[in-house]
Amino acid sequence: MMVGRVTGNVVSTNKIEKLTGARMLIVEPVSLETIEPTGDYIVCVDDVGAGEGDLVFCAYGSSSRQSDTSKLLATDYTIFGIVDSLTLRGVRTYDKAKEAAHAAG
Amino acid sequence: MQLAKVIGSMVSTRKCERLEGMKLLVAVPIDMETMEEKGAPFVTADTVGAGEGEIVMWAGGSSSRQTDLTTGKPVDSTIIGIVDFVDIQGKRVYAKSEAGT
Amino acid sequence: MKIGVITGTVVSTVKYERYRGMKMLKARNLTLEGEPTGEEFVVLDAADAGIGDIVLLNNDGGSAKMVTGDSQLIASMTVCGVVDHYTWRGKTVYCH
Repeated sequence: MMVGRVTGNVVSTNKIEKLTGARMLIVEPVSLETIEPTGDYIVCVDDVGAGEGDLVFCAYGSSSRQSDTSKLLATDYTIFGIVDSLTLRGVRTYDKAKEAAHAAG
Repeated sequence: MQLAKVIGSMVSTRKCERLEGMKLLVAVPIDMETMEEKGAPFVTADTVGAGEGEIVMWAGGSSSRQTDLTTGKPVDSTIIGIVDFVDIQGKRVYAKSEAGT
Repeated sequence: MKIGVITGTVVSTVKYERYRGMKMLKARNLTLEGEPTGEEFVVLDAADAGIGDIVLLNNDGGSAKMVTGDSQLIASMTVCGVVDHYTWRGKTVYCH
């Protein structure tokens, strides 16, 4: 599963019917150790109501069309969850609550 | 299938309902000859109850949905086994019982 | 999906019969700064795109089957939409 940060969105009027109603977000994959962007981006269909700034995880390929809504969409990457926390080698590398508290000052 | 070492976990409350109850772990790819970590860590679903420090085998793509626990679930990578031994050309390169986990 | 730009058209007379009647285009991926990156590749067009259009490129064979409505079709990259605009890190980029 790809983990990345939502940093934007894409609007397209002239699109195929099988993308009608899909929310398309720009996700920048991050390193799980540093939570820093790796320099790439992917346009993902949103299945969970993610918003800008959220750390999310996505599935690609045919796995990206395995929910009730996404199975009708011609997507190749879909956001299936918002990350609360990541722990690597006993170290908490990401904590959504802490990040929110930090952002709020 | 590829080998990886489980090094952590990911928690998500707001997720696709089909993923409810699914354990999501963080693993790092392993070089089979040296059994050293090689590459960037990634998130993968767990179907076998793997724990931190264990060497596991995992499948990606549509193959990751071929287990009873992952059928029809939006996962693109699944841990499908815990490795006990790795023998290459008659040489034991890994034994779980001898690995300091 | 990736954001890309249509760079040309491809005409082929002798081709896989399931491609008959389909528009084939050349495209390149774009960075979010709008710079073309990587090699050119051939795409199947499902969104009536033209040269110079900024488009959404879907890189999945299963989606290609859905997009074309042909469950037997074999394809990798398809054009799924023409991008109006995208917002990235607080900046909005208008594409036409």
